[in-house]
Order: sequence, then structure tokens, then C-alpha cells
Amino acid sequence: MRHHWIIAALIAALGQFAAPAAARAEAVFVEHIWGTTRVPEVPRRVVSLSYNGADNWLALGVTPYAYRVWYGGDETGLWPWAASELGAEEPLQLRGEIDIEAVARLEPDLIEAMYSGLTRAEYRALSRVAPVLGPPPGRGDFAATWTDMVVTFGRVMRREAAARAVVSRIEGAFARTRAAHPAWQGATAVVALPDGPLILTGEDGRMQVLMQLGFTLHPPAEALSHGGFFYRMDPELTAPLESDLLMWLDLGGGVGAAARNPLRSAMRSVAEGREVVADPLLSAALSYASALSLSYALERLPGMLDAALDGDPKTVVASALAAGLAP
Amino acid sequence: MSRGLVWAPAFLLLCLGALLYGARGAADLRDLTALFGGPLPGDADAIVLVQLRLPRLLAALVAGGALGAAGAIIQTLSRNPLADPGLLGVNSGAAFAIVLTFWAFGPQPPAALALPGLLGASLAAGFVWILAMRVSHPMTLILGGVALTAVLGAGVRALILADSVALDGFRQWAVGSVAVVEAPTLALASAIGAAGLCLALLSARSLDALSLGDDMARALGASLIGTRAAALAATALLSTAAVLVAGPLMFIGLVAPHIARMTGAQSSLGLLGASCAWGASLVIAADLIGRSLFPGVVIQAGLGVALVGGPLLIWLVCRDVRDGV
Repeated sequence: MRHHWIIAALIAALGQFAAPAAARAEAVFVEHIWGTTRVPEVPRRVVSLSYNGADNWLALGVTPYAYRVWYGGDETGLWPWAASELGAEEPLQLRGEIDIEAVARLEPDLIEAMYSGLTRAEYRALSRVAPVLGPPPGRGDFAATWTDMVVTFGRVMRREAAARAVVSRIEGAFARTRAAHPAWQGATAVVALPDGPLILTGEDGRMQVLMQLGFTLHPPAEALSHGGFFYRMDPELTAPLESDLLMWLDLGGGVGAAARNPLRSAMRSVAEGREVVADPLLSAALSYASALSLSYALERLPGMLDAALDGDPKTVVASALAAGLAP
Repeated sequence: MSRGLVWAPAFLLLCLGALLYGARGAADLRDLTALFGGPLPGDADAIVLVQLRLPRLLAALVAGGALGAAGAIIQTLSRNPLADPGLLGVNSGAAFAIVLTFWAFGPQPPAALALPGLLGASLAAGFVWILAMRVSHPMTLILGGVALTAVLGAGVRALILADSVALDGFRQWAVGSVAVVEAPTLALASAIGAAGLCLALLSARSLDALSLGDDMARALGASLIGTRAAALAATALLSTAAVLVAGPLMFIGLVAPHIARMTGAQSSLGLLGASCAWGASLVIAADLIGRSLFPGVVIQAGLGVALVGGPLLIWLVCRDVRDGV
């Protein structure tokens, strides 16, 4: 009988341990290209190594403890759509390449690296510091979309409902924009950087935004693509640029190289006024392709694209005119 | 030289090929009249020929010729057959100055990079020259240059890490391609290259003397310091010209003088001319190969250079071994 008493006491004691554990959130498992990461508790100190990480965390209403600065932006290292969401908070900024020791010193309880260029070796090292979220499985290092990120963030923060709300808000905005612009559906588009010129492929997030709005990648531009995010087009060619919509990205250096192309006069997209220029702010919004930046891009794009897509050179495409590309 | 002239028709054919063949397909021979002031047909093919392929050919000519000549000078000056203008720190000097420009002033049109490029190349050449002055040994030149290249390379990396606009500009520039070159850049690079070539030609005779050793050179009445200074200045000018139109191009400066020697060039003057011609041929051929292997896209010229120059050098080496040279 004494033994029974001891066993009962042991069970009771174990129960004491088990009870608080049950009250805490259950562990969440996240799959990524390097395996599965277990996030035992709701993280309180998130270090985001993704280039557009701060944007997508802030979209979910979570302020990271530290975030990676990509390019441009104000003193926060963020662009207006994200900087305005920071409020009075001043998270730490990480610049340059990933410094494992610096990340470890921050004592994070979650390291998010879904769009960061993290290597497998860095992943292993950082996993000893805290659970690490890598890029989604089965795709490339920089293939995570804002949806992948927001949904995953929602799961690890146990805020799935909020994440679903963000996703449906932005997908709704995309759907409404598509529905309001039947002329875009199936029209061909090319997104290019003027120096080179560099043509973005269907792998690139900026071209993908246009595809989500109903455009298709211009077949002659797609034909030259051999994988990767972009290629440098031979300057003799014009066919890859003669799409229904030709969008130049101005990342800050202007689009002078496009204006100086001697073959401009022979291009249909030029003759019909089908060029648009995304200024540095809009280019950044498309490049960040985050839940916050795309909302901004969706406000700017329709007016700009409509002026170019009517195929009438008389319609002034304000963005092209301002950038010195008027036909 | 006379033996080298055997190659002249082949060189002209290569140039003609570069004009007639491209991503857009073969050009109409009649369009060639446009090059000689004939009536300019207003169609796109003629524009391609005159405003794209011709500048592209000239850029390859300038870059390859300048690098070939610079390689010949450096190999003679350092008495080291493995010397390359890239080893002198001159290219890295230009690269560092150009990235510094991107970092300080944001993205710049290519022609605006001429001055900082020239300045960086000259400072690097000057630094190596001062080193070589203090320790009069041919290896000093190479070792000093290698050390400087390493330091400047680290500087370039640090700057592009700190600033993504600098990175973008650098990435554009570092492709190393003659595919897109605008008239002002081409004109500037040609002028700088011509100045470098003149200086090189003027110092060729003294370089011959120098190649016999310092004592012999003194005995022959050559000014050691003057010759070295002139040769280094010529190298800086030639490297800058090449860097402006083609970005950083390795291997040409190393391989062109060897091919020149193996095809019969002997005196400094002959070596200079032949290296110039071989360097130009290699870059033109490399660009043509790139156009044919990857139609429609532009690849790094360095890739084509390695594809053309590597096998050619191996073939020449094998031939010399077989002939017991």
C-alpha cells in the first residue's frame, strides 16, 4: 500500500509540472528549405533578418526587436509605408551582412530569415541561438512572398486570425484592381532596369506583381530567360521590349540609359506610348513586395498603367514624361 | 613585324564579322555603305550597324588593344612573364575610385567615371612606382601591386556592403562587357588609350635596354627612373581606357603578350604592336563568341575571353613544346 501512495504522490507531482505547460501555447512547427523548426512558445523578442522583414512583421502588428535594413528609406531604414507603422518604437537596425555573433548578443527567442539569403551554415549556427525560420521549402532563397511570410508569422505568434485578415485585405485589393481593369487581363508586360537593359523574369517579385494584376510576361522577353531573376538583354534587340506595357524601374539613378537607346524610334511600345516609369518610391514598393508596400503600389499603379495601355500615343503617360521618356 | 602582318587579313575578317553578325541576325552588306558616309537607311538594321555594332567593335578594339599593350609593358618592365596589368593594382585603383564615386555621389553615367577612374589608376600606379623606386628589384613592382590590389579589393567590398546604391552601380560596371558603350565614353577612352599608347611607344626603346638588366640599361644610357615612370604612366592610362569601356577584364593583359611572342614578336616595339593587335582580336572574338553562344543576352566578356584565349594559349604552348622551342 505504501508503494501505491508513493506512486500517487509521484503522479500528483508530475501533474504539477504538466499543468502550467498545458496552459502555455502548444509548440508550432514550421517547415523550411533546411528542415523543420520548432517554435515552443510565443516569441517575445523577434530578430528579423529578411530584407523586407520589418514590413511584413509590422503588417501583422508585431514590432520586431531588431530588423534588417535593405536599402534607402529614412533614418529608420524603412520606407514611408513601414516607417509610419513603427509609431514611437525604435527597434534595433541590422545593416550589411548577417553577423552571427551580433544576432546572438541580441538574445532573440525567434530569428526570422525567410527572405534573407541566409546560408545553411549560418542557419545551423543561428539555430543554436534561437529557433530560425528559413525560406519556404521547395523554392529558392528569395522566393518567399509576402503571403508566405505573413501567414508563417501569424502561426508562430499564434495570431492566425490577424494574419488571415491581412492576407484577405490585400488579396481583396488585388482582386478589386483586377476586376476594375479588364483591359489588363492577358495584356503582355515587361519590367526592366534601364542600364543593360536588365529584363526581369517571371521569377522576380516585381514582375509577379504585374502578373497578379492579370498581365502575362511578354513571350519574346520570356524566351530569352534561362532561369534566375533577370538577364542582360543584347542591346540590338527590340522585340523583348515591345510589349503592351513596358515598365522601367528607376532605382535612383534615373532612366537615361533607356532614353538614349538608339533603337527607341523603331519600338512599338515607344511609338504607342506604352512605357511607364516607376519612380524610386514606387520601385521600392514593388521591390519590397511586402504586405505594406504593395498596398501603396496598388494605389499608384492603376492610373499610371491605364494611361500607357490605351495604345494611344496622345495620352500623356505622366510618369514617362517626368522621367524624360515621352515619345 | 613582317611575320605578324600575316595575321592582318584574319584581323580584318574578324572585325567585319563583328559588324555583320549579331543578336538581330546578319546585317545586309549594303548597310555597310552607311559606315562610309553613304546614305543612311533609316531602318533599324542600319541603326544597329552604325550605332550599336560599330561602337561595340571599337570598344572591344580599345579595351583589348589597351590591355594587350599594358600587359606587354608590365611584363617587360617587371621581367616577369606572369605579370598582368591587373596585378599592379591599377585596375583595383580604378575600381575603388569608381565605387567611391558611386558611394559619395550616387549612380553616375559611364562617362562621368572617367576622371575618378583615371585618378584611382594613377594613384595606384604612383604608389607602386614609389615602392619600386625605393627597392630597385623587379619583384617589388609585382609584390607591391599584389598587396595594393588586395587592400583596394577589400575597400571595394567594404563600400558595396555599406551601401546598396554603390553596390548597384558597381554591379553594372563590374559585368565587364563591351555590349553597351555610349559615344562620349568611347571617345574619352580612345583619347586616354591613345595617350597611353604614345607614351608606351616612346619608352619602348628604353624598355628594351631595361630588359637587359639595370646595369646594362645604365651602360646603354637609359634613364631607369624615367623609363619606369613613363612605362607605369602608360600602363595606368591604358588600363583606365580599358576599364572605362569594358569594366574589369582579366587575362587579356597576361595572354596577349605571350601570343604575340609566340607568333614572332621580339623587340619591345614589335611586342607592343603585336600585343595590342592580339589583345584587340581576343576581345572582339570573345564578344562574337558570347553573342553566338548566348544569342540575345549579354554575358560577361571575361567568360568569352577565357573561352577564346585559354585554348589559343594552350595550343601555342603545345606547338612550342612539340617544336622544341
